[in-house]
Amino acid sequence: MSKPGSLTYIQEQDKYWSNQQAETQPICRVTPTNALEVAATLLITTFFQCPFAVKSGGHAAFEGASNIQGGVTIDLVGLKQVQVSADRTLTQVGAGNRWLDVYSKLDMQQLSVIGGRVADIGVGGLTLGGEQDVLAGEKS
Amino acid sequence: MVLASGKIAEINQNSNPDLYFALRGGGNNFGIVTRFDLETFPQGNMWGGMTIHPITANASVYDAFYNFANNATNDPDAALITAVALAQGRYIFSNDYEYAKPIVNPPIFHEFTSIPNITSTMRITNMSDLARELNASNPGGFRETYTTATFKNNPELQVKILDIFVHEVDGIKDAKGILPALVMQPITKDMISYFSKKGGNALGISESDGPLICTLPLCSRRHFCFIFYIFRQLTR
Repeated sequence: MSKPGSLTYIQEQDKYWSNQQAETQPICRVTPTNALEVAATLLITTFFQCPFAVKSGGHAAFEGASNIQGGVTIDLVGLKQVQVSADRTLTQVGAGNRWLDVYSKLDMQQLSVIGGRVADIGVGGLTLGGEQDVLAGEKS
Repeated sequence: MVLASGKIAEINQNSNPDLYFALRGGGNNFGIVTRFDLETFPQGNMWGGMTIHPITANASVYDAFYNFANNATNDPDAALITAVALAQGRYIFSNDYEYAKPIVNPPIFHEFTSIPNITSTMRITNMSDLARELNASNPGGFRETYTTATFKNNPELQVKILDIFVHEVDGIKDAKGILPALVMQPITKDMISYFSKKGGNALGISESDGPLICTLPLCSRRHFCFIFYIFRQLTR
């Protein structure tokens, strides 16, 4: 967990693409490293009735998308696994990854997935919000 | 994903078809997704990059776009996205192309590549390199806004939209640090055909609706932006 003024807080706030999001100041930022920690964070936050936001890549263009003034921001950047299955037909992608993180690992293995074509866009927002993909014509 | 109860569950078409369907476009409203399992396929080198053209090429660009969108089913290895932007006070096209095989200038792109360009970075490369390049034309550090509207494939309409865009942006283009752009990308019949995979079409469009043009006016500015006014003009 990080609070305003700490180096971690400042560095994480700096990762937002739009200034509207970068200028939003949560009371604290939490960076879980696995799903259990995400669940614990969520339960604690809702128990205390704290407004919260969730961040994947932080590339949205509107205030409140993945940062929250005076609330708790749950930053998924710690969920960053890119794990290809043994038969190479499935990749487990942590929700904190950006598409460049995914492609640079998969390019090394001559593999790919359907995803965004702009490096800094997060896997979470694009996948859940609908996406326009390079390879979608042949492979969706 | 983590549900509101705190429960961590695997969500797929078989386990939770309603929730799985709702997540397509449902954003962050139903829980916190912690992991995505993505279908993976072999992918080697690609051919792609960006070309810049003067705005006077608009009829050629949009005619090429129209034919590309209609012919895309003949070669689903190809994808593109066109953008009109301001560069040093001049309107230019900045077009981005991707081809899933390492073949230079495949026929599906010929109509585009025959348009004289100011610069071109077309090359044999890979997906991460192309993603980095396209990212560089969308830098952070600005106040951002964009919106979208989708139309049927129609080059005359694209030219008309461009005319409105230029007319409206002319009024504000001297504003300090402003970066307006008009992005258009095709939604091909092939793409639409895959929307129904695994539980149904969340967008409510069918192959016969396509091909479509997804238009995206975007504005970056240090302080604020007139984009929604421009967009209202465009959709009238």
